Formats: sequence, structure tokens, C-alpha cells
Amino acid sequence: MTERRFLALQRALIGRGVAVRHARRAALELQSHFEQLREQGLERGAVPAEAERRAHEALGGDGVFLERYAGREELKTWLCRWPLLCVFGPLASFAVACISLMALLVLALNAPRLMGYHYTVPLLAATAVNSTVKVAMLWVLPVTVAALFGVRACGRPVPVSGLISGVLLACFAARLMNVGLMLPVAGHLGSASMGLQIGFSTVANELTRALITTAVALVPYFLLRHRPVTTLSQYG
Amino acid sequence: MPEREPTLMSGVPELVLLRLLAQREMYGYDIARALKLLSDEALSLGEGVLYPALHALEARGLLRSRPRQVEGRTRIYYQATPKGCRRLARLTANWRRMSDGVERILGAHHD
Repeated sequence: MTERRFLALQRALIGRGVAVRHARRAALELQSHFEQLREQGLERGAVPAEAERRAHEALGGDGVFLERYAGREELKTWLCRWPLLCVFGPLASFAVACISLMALLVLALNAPRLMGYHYTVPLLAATAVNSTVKVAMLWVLPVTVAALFGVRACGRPVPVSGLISGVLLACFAARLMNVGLMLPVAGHLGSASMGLQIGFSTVANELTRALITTAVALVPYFLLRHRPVTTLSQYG
Repeated sequence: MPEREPTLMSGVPELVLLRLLAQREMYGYDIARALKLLSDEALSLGEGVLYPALHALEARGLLRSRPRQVEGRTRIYYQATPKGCRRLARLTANWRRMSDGVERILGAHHD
């Protein structure tokens, strides 16, 4: 019962927006504190059940901990401290990830040439690499970034509408993006490109695709959100 | 146990925790016991106040912590940082000035 009480307390703290590391540490410290109170009771001659009951009483109700932790903004996770991060965080993270990945690819593409080694690859291989980069950057990357935000928001008091808007924004930006990475083939130097392209005739299609991507990206969030969570009331 | 006025306790946890932890490294249970003993039971923060206060002080860079295994149990030891010691000096000066003022008022005779 004791361990379950502190585990439940840890989950309840996370549910109130307290950062996981603080919630874990709070549970650990309180459990250690409880153990010492119990040992103190045993040393004073109480039977184990009585010592445990007194230790629980001395530690106080979980409601007090929850209120005190929830009132400390500095102990909360950044998604709870700045809810706007849910809206703009996925887009900003996606942009940073895209630019970083493209910079790495350009560096990798040019590194052999800078070292004086000129190479070419067969056209088929260059096309395959280009397609892989497109899929990775325009589909896999936005879905991964958005899914990570969803997982971070799981079980926390984060506005769902804000999260959905943020993920949709990132996925829509990905749909409007163009990337290309051509390795050097016979007669042509390699090239890398990245940009945004807005065509009014295709906006509706891209928005539909963005909605589908958003739904895929939010699957982990909704799956984890509805997993059974032990509530404090079960353990009193 | 004497009755406590929550409004009078504002700012006290930070001051007393920094004072204790500027002297030596301590863990939660140790701190709770020291507070009771040193204040002759006038001050008892209660675990519900103690741990959130410790974590918040650490988040503000006023304390640092490290885990230690003692008798098969993990204890988190806290100690004041240099920033915490500077904050303690300011809080102590403010507290002394304020309590002197309150003492003068309480001891004054009004006609």
C-alpha cells in the first residue's frame, strides 16, 4: 500500500502539471521520509501496523502536497508554464529540426569535395536518396516532432485545442515545404534545396493532407491519454 | 502544540531553510527534525510545505542537491549555493529589521 500511495502521488503530481523529475523526486523523498517516521514509531514500541498508520498521519494528506506543488510555477513542466508553446512549439521545433538536418546533409554532400575527392553516383541512387530525404523531412520529421509534443503533453493539464492547433500548424507547414537533395551524377554537381511554396489552387489539398498527418501524429497522445491511471482516491 | 498563523509564516520557510542548509548538507527528514528541535517546536513546516519549498529553492538556483544511498535508501541531500548564501544574508537583514520594528510596536505604551 505504501509504495502504491507514493506512486499514485507521483502520477497525481504529473497530472497537475508538475515536471516529471520533480514529481519523481517528491515521491522518492516522501517515501524515504515515511520510512523513517515508521522506523521511529517501531523504535518507540509501536506494532508495525500502528507505526505505519502513525507515519501516514504524520506525513499528512496527499491533497496538501498536490496543492503546494501545483502552486509552484517553477516546478511545473514548460508546456504547463507557457501554454502557447503547445501552439507554436511544434512548428518552431520542426523548423529547427529541418534546418539542422538540411545543414548536416549539405555538409555531408560537400565534405568529400572540400577534401579534394570528387565522386558521382548512379542516377537511380541519386533519385532514391532524394526521395528518401523528401519522405524523411516532409512526412517522418513533422509527424515525429508533433508526436513527441503529444507524448510530452500526455496526462498533463495542457489544452487539447492548443496542442491540436500546434500540430496542425507544423503539419501544414510541412505540406507547403519543398526539399531536394541531389547527389552528384555524371555531368551534374550535387544540389540541395529547401523552401516554402504556397499555391492557392492546391491549398485545400495540402490542408487535407495536413489534417491526415495531424491525426497520425496525435495517435500516441490519444492512446496514452486514455490509458488507465491509478487515482489517489483508490488508496485514500 | 501552539497555534500557527499562516499569514505570519510568509517567507519564513525560505529563510529558515537557507539558514539551515548554509551551515551543512541535510536531507528532508533531517531538516524537518532540526526545525522542530531548534525552534523548540514553534516552527514545524510540515512535509507538505517542506519538500515543495526545497524543490522550488533548488529550481531558483538557491540550493543544490545530490542523491546518496544510506542503508539501502536513497536520500536527497541539499546544501545552499553561493547564490543561496547571498539571498540568506539579504533575507536575514530584512527579517531583523522587520522583527525589531514589530517588537518596538508591541512593546510601546499608548495613552
